[in-house]
Amino acid sequence: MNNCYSDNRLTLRRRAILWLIIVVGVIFAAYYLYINSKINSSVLSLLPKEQTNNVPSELIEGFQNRLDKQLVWLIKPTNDELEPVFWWYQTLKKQSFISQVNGYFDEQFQKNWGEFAFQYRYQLLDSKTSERLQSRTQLSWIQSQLYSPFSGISATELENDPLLLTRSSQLNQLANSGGLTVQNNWLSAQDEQGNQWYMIFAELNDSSFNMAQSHQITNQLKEITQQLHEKWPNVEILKRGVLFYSDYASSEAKNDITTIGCLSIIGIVILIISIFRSIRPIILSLLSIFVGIVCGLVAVLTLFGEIHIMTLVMSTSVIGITVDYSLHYLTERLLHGNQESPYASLKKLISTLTLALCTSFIAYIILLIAPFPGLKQLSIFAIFGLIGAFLTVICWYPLLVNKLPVREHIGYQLLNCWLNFWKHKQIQWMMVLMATFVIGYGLINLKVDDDIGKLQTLPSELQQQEQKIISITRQTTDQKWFIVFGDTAEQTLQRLEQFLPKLDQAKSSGYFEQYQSINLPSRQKQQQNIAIVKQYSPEILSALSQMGIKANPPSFEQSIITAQLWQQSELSQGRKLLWLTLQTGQSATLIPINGIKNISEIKKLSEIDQGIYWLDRRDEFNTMFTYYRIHLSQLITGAVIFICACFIFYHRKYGLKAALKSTLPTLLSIGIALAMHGIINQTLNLFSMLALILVIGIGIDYSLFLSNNKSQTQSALLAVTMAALTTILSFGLLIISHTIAIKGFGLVLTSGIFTAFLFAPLVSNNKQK
Amino acid sequence: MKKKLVILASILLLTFSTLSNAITLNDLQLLFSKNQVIRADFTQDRYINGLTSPIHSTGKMIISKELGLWWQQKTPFAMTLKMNQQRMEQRIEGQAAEVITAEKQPQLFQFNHLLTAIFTADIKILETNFAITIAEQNKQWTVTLQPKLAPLNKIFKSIVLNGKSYLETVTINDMQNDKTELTFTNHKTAKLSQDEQLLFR
Repeated sequence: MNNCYSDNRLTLRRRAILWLIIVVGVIFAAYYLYINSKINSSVLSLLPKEQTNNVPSELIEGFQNRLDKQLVWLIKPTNDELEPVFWWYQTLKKQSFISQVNGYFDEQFQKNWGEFAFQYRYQLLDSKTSERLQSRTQLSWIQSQLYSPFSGISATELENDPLLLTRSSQLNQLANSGGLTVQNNWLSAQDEQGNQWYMIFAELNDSSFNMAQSHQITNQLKEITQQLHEKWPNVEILKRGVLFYSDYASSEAKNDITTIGCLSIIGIVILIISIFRSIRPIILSLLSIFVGIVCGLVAVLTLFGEIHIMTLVMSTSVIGITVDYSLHYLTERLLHGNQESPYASLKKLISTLTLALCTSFIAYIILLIAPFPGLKQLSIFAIFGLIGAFLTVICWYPLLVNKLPVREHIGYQLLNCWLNFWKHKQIQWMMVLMATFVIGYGLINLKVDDDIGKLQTLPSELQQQEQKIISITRQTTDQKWFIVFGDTAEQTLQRLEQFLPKLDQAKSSGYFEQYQSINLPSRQKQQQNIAIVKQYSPEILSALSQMGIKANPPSFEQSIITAQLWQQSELSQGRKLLWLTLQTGQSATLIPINGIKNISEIKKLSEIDQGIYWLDRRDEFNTMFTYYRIHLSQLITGAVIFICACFIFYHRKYGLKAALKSTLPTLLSIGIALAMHGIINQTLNLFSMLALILVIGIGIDYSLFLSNNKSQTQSALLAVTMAALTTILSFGLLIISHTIAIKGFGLVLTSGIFTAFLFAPLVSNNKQK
Repeated sequence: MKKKLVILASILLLTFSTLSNAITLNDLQLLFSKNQVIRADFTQDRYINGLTSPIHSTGKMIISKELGLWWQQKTPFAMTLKMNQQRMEQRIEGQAAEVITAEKQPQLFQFNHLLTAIFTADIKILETNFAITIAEQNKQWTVTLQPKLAPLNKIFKSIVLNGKSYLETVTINDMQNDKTELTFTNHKTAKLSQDEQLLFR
């Protein structure tokens, strides 16, 4: 025995050293990658990057990044005092993480705005004024202004802009301003009670803050809010921004990770101590868990450059599976440490371990099929984590398990009892019947819902504030809009101009209430505008001179407003966000639609060939969720049929009845996992399908181990029990997560795996016949 | 901003029957709410610097506390304005009406809302927006409103109301030293006839 041990000592040592070098390298890589990567926490980024439309994804991402950077506040001062508003504006400006603050339009701004609008009044001719010119009614409109005692028209204005084009387009623009107005130089809106709220909006320097940074920013903002309340106790302030949601999500996830991770490790430690009566197995298990986590982390960070918060939370569950390999080996040593060398134990187990690795491996690989970045991350994390833990067990354990206490008869009575319990036919029938009853009850109440919005619990306080902001400003945050895009800015603008009349028509048909669009005409349009003014101005001017009004004849300077000039000018204020030009020249503009009444008619306006597309990400994702849920359920059905066929084939020598019985643990575990949804009123969605895949992949192990002819039923059962307990410990703890999606995932897994474990002895009975 | 016509209409409700030496804003508010309906003819002259002659127009108007304002310019061309708390409509003869509603165009409508504050002598809003001086001489009273906030103070220097038993003249002094003079005559306070009610539709 000693010989056998020393014979292989060299190989073992070489292998161990090699793995040590790799692990050290991986740890360094993990450290380096971790400090340089960001943690992503947006639910949308969990979703497929794959586009269902042909809108260039850089454009959509560009807009998305920009939206992520926006922060909005509404302030309601007491007695309309502007001091707190101004203080907030100034204080924000001082913050290093904010790149610009808006909402205050001082005299200089208004002057610049007016000058720009005047300088380019011909180019900027709005559609209404253009219509009036062409229908020869502009003159009577000018007269109505002249005769109105409150128009404030001066001789200077008449002289410089006799057609009153600047005035006309400004008035028409005001008519389309939506819920927001400029009051006392501040952007403001009124709520239903008539209170004046002032809006201040800011942009963050960067959208890609890591968890610590965004937490720091949120805290800093909280602090200055505190200061505001101290200075002016009755001032109300509302906030909105992706930052606040993502910070909330990260801190929730952080709590989740800490709680779930700690509890599952504590649980595993207690379990190991009570079975092994030694510290060494704990250290060994923790070692393989640690190596597994580091390997998974490095793989994810290398492949994706970032890690999603959901991945981190779900990855804690991988602990339960990685520890299985340690447990299988340690159990073997626990029971047979006196009869065989550590190397012999490894040799005996290696095929079973590999089999176990493979089944989990395959289950996780199936997860890769769904095009969801979050799940891909989880799969990669799990696959590499499992490999890391597996290699730790086979490379290091044989050298480290010396002096492990041996307890040959541990739990023998209990395990025997359990096995005997399952030998009774009536009990088998009763258990299966009970399970069937539970499944039946659950399935009746099963509901399907693919709405992704329900997968994330949003903090109610933030949501209330957001609702209030929407009701005051009448600007929704639905992210439902048309995107108009083109290869050049000019193409985009021309497409926009062709599209707007259709949109106006849809608006007057009552399909929606309002839309918002940029105020930049295309080069072509600007030239047309100049031509229109040229054509129609002479007769208006002569009519005016008959009335005794002398005016300077218009001079038509031909300079054109480019997208760049527009973006730099005051004119683009408040609409800049709707325009995006990429380095390639590709450009796009968004048209947010408010007050949607008839979505199917609106959708019909999409003309993807013409660069116009109705973007409703949530709706698109829901459709995709449905598609993949159905897709995966077909895949699962196929897999289950295949697995059952294998079981039947494998057990065929024991008779048809026994063969059929061998499929029961798998079928029942799936059934219970599904039924659990109905029982606790959780809806069935894509995540449930993904959990089901793992239920099958992991649950099948138990049947496999117990039906393995080569190992003793008792020792196999002990290892399986430990494995199931640790897995349930880690997945079961996902139930306490704050995120509904994760909670559901944990619940399905726990109930499924528990059922698989519970009914696994059904298969072992075949073996003993 | 033609919508500011409403201010006139509102001011016409200043129908003081008895006058004391020290009229307060509270008195004003009481007096404002006295008549349900007022009709009058108006003539308007706008003096704009640089123009050889004043711009002259005439017409008539009705204010109903219930239905709002109806203002019709008859010469030199026809133009009608209707206005209530929710909507405003202006029509130049032979053209489609321009409609502005409180819900859809708050920025434009807000201004008018402010002016209806004069209509009801809403002391809070008036005091926020104007510096008010009230004077009386030989039973002829004068109210001067000086705008305090933007955008009113960018356009108007002062608005002066003058009258005896009814509002008789309104003088609007623009910031550019232009001036508008409105004269109201032929005041009547009888109930609205059915035809008149239809005008507000």
